[in-house]
Amino acid sequence: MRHPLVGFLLAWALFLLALGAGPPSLLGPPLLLLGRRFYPEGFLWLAFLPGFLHAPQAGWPLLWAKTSLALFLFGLYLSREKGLWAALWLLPLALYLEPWGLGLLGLLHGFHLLARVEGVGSLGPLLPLLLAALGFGLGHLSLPGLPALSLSAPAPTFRASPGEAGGPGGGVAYLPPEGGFPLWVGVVDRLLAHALPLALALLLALGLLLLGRRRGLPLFRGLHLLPLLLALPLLLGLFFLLGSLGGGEGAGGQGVGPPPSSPPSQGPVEWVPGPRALGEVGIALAGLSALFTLALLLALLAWAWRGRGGEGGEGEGAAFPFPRAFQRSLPASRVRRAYLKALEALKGAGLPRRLAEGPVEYGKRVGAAFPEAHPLLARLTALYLPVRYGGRAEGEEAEEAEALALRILELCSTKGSKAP
Amino acid sequence: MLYERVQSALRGRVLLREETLRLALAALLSGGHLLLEDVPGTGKTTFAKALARVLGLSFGRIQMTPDLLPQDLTGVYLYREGSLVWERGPIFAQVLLVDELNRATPRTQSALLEAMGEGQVTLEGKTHPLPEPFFVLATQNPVEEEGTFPLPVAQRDRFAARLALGYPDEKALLKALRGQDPLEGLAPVTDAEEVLALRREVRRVRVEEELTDYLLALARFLRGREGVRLGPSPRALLQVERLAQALALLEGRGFALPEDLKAAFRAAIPHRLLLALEAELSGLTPEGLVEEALEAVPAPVEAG
Repeated sequence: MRHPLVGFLLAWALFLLALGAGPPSLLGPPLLLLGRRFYPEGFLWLAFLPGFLHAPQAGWPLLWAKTSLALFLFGLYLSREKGLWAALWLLPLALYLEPWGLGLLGLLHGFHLLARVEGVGSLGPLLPLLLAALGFGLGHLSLPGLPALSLSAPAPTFRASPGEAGGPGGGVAYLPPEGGFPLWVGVVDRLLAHALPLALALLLALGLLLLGRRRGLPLFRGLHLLPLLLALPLLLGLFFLLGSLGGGEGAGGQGVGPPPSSPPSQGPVEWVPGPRALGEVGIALAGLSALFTLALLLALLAWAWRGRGGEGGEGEGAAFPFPRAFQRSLPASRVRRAYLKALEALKGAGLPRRLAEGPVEYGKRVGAAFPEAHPLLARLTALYLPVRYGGRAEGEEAEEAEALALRILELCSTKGSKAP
Repeated sequence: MLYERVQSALRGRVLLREETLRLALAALLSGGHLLLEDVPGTGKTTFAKALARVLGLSFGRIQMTPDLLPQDLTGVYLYREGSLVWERGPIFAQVLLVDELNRATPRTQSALLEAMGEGQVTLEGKTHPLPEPFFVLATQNPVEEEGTFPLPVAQRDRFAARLALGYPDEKALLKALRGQDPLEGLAPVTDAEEVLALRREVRRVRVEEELTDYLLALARFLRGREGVRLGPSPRALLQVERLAQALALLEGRGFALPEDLKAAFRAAIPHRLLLALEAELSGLTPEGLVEEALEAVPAPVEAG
């Protein structure tokens, strides 16, 4: 059981037995393994992503929850040596609450990661937080007019509000207008059905690009947490909208699909032809919203892709396809993390390490440009070198290294605030 | 530490940059040989003599000329008092200065280079091991090429490093002009035993796998670079690694750093590169290309 592959195969087999094979279940385990490799302290949030591929089929939140649970357990197994079990004690409660509980668990896990990795100076967990909250929101909230998202009622109903027609318990269901919709409505409606999976795929690609990119993450420097949290509801709303659109089963799809073979069971329902203009405008608005969301995600993706080559300050090595696995992995050693933290602080102070620069060369350059930080960095480098290149197991010097990194961070903050 | 002792002994006597001395000692400890390429009068001979003396090693010197024969290096059998007596050549020294190597014919050059590679010479079917440590400092004058036989790349590959001593700064030169004979009173600070022990120690210096990957990436860059006809050979990479290990040991470290590897790469690779004619005409130099590689390939450090 010690070999990761054994765990992987066992967990995958159990997972497939529990859920049956499908794209999310096939995608999840490799995704988690990949995440663990590049981002060992913050990969569990990936467990909450593949389940979204069940959307927008009926009852997808439940499938999302099941997939996420299975992947989360698998992820916990993978991270058993990384001390990320802290969220596990909430699992019974989460199971009791079903999808809501799992969403909440994802959210709390995101917070846990944020608190844990804050010491490293990486803002990477903001992304898990965002996605966990997204999962939580999707599972927890339900909006009027978006019955496909209701966890307890996967079968779509399209009743008008009781006050408008039909009286209490009854209602009016709209059929396509007489003569049907123009062709473009049908095409847009069919395309809309794929909007949410596409958006989630883009989000996943974005996550992968940012995954473990500590060198890229300073791009986020200065980005306050609050604006991000404020932007969250907007993103959630857009995803809700995408989830509710198209495919002949959602609200938009009803206009072009055939009338249901049997009316909904709750109360008498009167089927009437829907107003043509309203249907066309609705589909057009839905299409524009989906387009906007996808464009936003594409822009984010392009930004992340562009930022990928500009790592390391000068970006001079971007043209050379050097394998960067070792540069991407978050170091497990505390001394190495402390050194990394100091590097990021110095980069923030305008002294980034060049890609080709060794630690001693960099120390000399910093000494010339920022003499106050030189003795601290020299000492930190002296602690770092034997751990990094000498294979020495770190001992008490880890605390000293962390203290030095903190002092460098303070110095850089002071320098930054003094700068014009 | 050896480096500090040698540096202290040579201070004020030999007009040498610290980095050059460090690399020369690293070449010695790595088991390689050194190619000194510089204009006449920059102290190459004095440096070789002084180095041999402070290291407590025997010294030999050969002035290469076009009419020099291999036997003039290795020695000859002479008929004396009714029997053949072997007269050892100047090659049997622990530190051997080969002045103006490119003035000798390829035949003589080959004899020397073979001795460098094998650590022994064979005469009349008998093998004679060279003394240990055996360290060759060969000089080349890069400005006068008339009447010379430039070393082919394959033979340059046998030198662990190529260094240029360069002109000393005026302050050091003034000191030298007013000073005494640089070799007078120069005492050994070590002996052959310690040098050999350090040579064995060099192989135990740790080189992280990522550093080896880094070295391979540097080589890959040069091999794939337009204008490079012949990139670093596997032997060259091995010698870069040994040089880096020796540099680390001279600093008292049991592990190599990216900086060691870079310094070793700068010293060990340029003389091994063969450029395309168009590249040379466009002004590219091996040194420039090596610098380009070192600037382009990311060093294995935490990515901050």
